[in-house]
Amino acid sequence: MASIQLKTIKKSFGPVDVLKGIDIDIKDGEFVAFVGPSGCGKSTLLRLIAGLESITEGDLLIDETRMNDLSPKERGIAMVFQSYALYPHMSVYKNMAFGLSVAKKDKAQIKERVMNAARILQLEEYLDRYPRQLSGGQRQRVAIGRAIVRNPKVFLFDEPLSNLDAALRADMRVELARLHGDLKSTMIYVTHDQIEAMTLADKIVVLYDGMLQQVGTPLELYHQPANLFVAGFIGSPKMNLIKGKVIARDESGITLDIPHLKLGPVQFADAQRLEPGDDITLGIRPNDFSDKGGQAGELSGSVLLAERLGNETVVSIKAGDQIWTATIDGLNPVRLGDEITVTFDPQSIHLFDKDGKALERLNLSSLIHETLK
Amino acid sequence: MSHTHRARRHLSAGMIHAILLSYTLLALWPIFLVIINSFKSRKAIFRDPLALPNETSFSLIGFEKVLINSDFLLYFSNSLIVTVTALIISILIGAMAAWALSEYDFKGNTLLGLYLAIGIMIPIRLGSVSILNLVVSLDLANTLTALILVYIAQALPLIIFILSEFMRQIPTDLKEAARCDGVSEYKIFFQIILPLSRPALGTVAVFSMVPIWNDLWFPLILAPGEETRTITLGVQQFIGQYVTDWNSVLASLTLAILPILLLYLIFSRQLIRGITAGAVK
Ligand SMILES: Nc1ncnc2c1ncn2[C@@H]1O[C@H](COP(=O)(O)OP(=O)(O)O)[C@@H](O)[C@H]1O
Ligand SMILES: [Mg+2]
Repeated sequence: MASIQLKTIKKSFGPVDVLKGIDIDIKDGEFVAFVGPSGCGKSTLLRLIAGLESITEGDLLIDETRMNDLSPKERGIAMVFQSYALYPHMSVYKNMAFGLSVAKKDKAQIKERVMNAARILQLEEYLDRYPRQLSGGQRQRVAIGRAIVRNPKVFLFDEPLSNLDAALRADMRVELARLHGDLKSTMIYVTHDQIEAMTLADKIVVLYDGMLQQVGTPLELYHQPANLFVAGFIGSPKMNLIKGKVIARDESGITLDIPHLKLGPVQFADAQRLEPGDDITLGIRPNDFSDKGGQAGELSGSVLLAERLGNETVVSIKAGDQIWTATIDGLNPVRLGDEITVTFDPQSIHLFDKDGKALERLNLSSLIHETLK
Repeated sequence: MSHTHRARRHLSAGMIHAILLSYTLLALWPIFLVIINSFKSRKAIFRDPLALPNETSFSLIGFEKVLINSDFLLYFSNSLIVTVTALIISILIGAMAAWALSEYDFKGNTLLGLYLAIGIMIPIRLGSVSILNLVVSLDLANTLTALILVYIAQALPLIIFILSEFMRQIPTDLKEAARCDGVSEYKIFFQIILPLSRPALGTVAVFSMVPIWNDLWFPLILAPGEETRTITLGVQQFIGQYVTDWNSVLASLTLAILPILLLYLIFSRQLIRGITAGAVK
């Protein structure tokens, strides 16, 4: 049980600045996911919190206490590694008990805690086995068990599922969610897989290039990405991001010039930031397009690629020299080269100014909060 | 196509085996000669050195002389004490040094590592005179301690070099997981790193042990006294300027093979794992 504050945390390896001032506030019992492309500094940030790497600048507080100079064991954290990092020469039981026996805990108590963790993780039959005799999923559970027995204030996970196959990953995701529900500890979870982040986290922290891009609930990130990076990173298939210009701005909204796109004036909360002539980027999520018609926005072009997933078909549409992605009905019989028209609700578009910063969409925050309740 | 390919692979595997086998035979031949002749009478040795012992030529005279009439057992235990003690100490401190060099970033790490490894290329015997002076001024001449200290120095460079390379390959996550578990650096070393380094420890044990056991030079100059002779030095007393007591020489050599063979068998399981470790996942 612990809250965590990161205050302008910076980290350099020699001349290389890996983290460039990170501020995050994590509440007690929250499940927070750090996401970002590989190399953006997620693991480094996690290792700073764990105490495995020294903080170059800034403060780390756990439960209001400054932790910068404390060793990992004094911070009350437990970490689960991507490689599992099980001790190969110890049985499952010993792997889980090792930390406790080193801390000179009483034998009976150790046994009780290990058995309890084994029960939670369904590892009871495997206690005498060695890590090499276990499957990937079982190893990962042992690694989690090793963290649980120590009863830490904070759990840190570094891409714990990325070595597992897809089916197992989905199972483990459910188990982790259940674990968080049971233990109610603060958990920080690093992943480059946005599905893991979206499904598990109360709060997602998006990192890119050592800088914080956005912090928010999964739905906030999806519906109101703060900038172009988050817009492109969250959501699959990726959001269409197409460059254009502002033509006019009046009380009916902003009129845009986007080649081959039919779109009336659009409204944004902070539309007054834009002036006619400004460069903008327009964003539409592929699944905001529809082939059923009946919406005000329209895009026409020829089909370049149709990926049939069954429940839907992902089409690439070539309009002029732009390529758009849209998901349409799975039974639509489009073929390569066909002309197609898809429509969208003008309310569903995202707009980014020339610096890539998003404009605030209307009526959105209430929408997100409604859904969350 | 795949047939010829497979045939060629069989052929080359056969060739490799043939070469290795002939090398093994070549290497074992002198040992074989020593052992068979140690069971023969003096006359039989000279009459036909290549013959196996038979009813007429069989004789245990060499072993009798060595075991009953000489201080063989004393020499033998001297050798054993020196070899085992030097091995244990050099591996222990070598492993600790290797761990420090491979794990911790400190100023002069690389330089220190190089300095420690130089001993691999420069034979310790070049320093014999200074070592002798040192031993004499420390009043350690004619003691086993002198030999043990010198052998530790002799073995350390290779041990540190091989072990630090090996320890570098132990995944960082493992050590960090232990640190998160609240395990102290000493416990990490003794309970995780050492057990995981067993293959490399076996390798360095074998490579360090053989030259120590077989050494004649340092026993001769540092501890030639009757009480501190090692087995290789002890055997020399049977080799005279005019007559050599071949029975005794061969018998003591045969006996001298035993402990090293035993130690080798103990370490070799680790050694073979050490050589092939990482070859297959
Ligand atoms: N010990 C280190 N020394 C130097 N550079 C490092 C070290 N650890 C990480 N880096 C660099 O920091 C950046 C971020 O790494 P990391 O936090 O592992 O990224 P992520 O986990 O997001 O993939 C990378 O460019 C990496 O090369
Ligand atoms: Mg990482």
